[in-house]
Amino acid sequence: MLQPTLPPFAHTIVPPLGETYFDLLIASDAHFHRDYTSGAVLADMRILGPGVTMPGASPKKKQDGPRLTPKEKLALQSANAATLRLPGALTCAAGDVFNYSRYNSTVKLLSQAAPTYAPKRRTLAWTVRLIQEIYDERYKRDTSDIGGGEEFEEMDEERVAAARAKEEVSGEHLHSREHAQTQTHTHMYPKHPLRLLLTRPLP
Amino acid sequence: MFPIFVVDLFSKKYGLKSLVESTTWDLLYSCDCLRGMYADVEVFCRFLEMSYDADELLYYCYVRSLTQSVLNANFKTHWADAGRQNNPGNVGFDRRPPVLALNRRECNYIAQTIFIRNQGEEVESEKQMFSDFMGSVDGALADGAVDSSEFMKIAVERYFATRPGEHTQDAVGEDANEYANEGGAAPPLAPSRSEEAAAAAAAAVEEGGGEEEVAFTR
Repeated sequence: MLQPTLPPFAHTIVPPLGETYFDLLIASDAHFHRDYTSGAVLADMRILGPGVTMPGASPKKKQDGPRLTPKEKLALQSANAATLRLPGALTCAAGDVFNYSRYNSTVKLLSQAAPTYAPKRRTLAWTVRLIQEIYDERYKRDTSDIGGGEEFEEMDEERVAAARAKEEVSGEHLHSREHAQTQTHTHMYPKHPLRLLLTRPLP
Repeated sequence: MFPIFVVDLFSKKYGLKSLVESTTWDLLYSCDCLRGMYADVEVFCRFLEMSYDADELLYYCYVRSLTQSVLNANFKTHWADAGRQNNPGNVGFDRRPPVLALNRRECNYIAQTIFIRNQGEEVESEKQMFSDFMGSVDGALADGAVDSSEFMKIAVERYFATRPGEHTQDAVGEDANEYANEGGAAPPLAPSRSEEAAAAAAAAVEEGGGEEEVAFTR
């Protein structure tokens, strides 16, 4: 840290204790100002007894910066991201450059033509959990399309019971995970590329 | 199209346009940072960038569903608590739950479920597909087990590489010629059934026993 140079008054007023006194003022975060009539440098300070607090002083809440609303935060991130505008790339919250050109099919779906949001690097767990959720939803949709049914976990007792009741009435199969797998297998098996590759005539 | 599905899903989940956009951007950026290190993220990125299409996606989800059944686990729930691993180094951005590994027997069971139907006159080709796939899996086994995400990645890669059409050897050969004409290096050939694997598969078929019978219990 850059230390301020010792002002002349510290030597002139009390030469042996000047430096110590100056250090005390710096440590107390004293505010120095110049008296333009006399040219002297002054510092205001108040010495309080032990355990005495300043009247009217309240404990301050720790705050790194001004409190922002989510909208303001997004605006601030946009302003930060605006420092770099390259086609297919943008600056992230951490300052790295993210080249998103290979994900253009996804980026095009987002409303803003020129992205202004500065992406954040999330944790591995957050990322993979979201990915797994997407796969779950997709598989649920696909199996529903294929078999006209719905996949659900066997642990979901209410739905299993409801499906069993329906099965008893209508004679339909239980739409469980196993059922969804069987449906998918039946749908996919005939067009599995390995099978096509092995059964087609050689050139 | 998979990206449309993802953005639609986020729209339903989050509602607010700004939240949908920020989540999508965060997901894209995080995946891009992690894709080389984790098999499941790598595969997801390939779906997002449309290297793999809807057929591969359905196949991957199917294999994933089988894997969950065999492991008696739900991947989403598993990843919901990343701090379970009793390891002082398991902190920070890359904190993860314990690896869900498949042993060879379990891999065998899944592969049998995918490939073997034992119907009609296709038994031999089924066995060939099966042993071909298990050949790839054997290459990835370490201490008799393979990470489930790596197993699923192998499955979808094999599926993609053997798809007839643009990804077959002929098409790749044409690409290689184009590269050669431009003075560049030839792109790597798509992985295909190697002669060794084919010979091993044929030998297994000749022996009549094929692969071991699996009476699977877990």
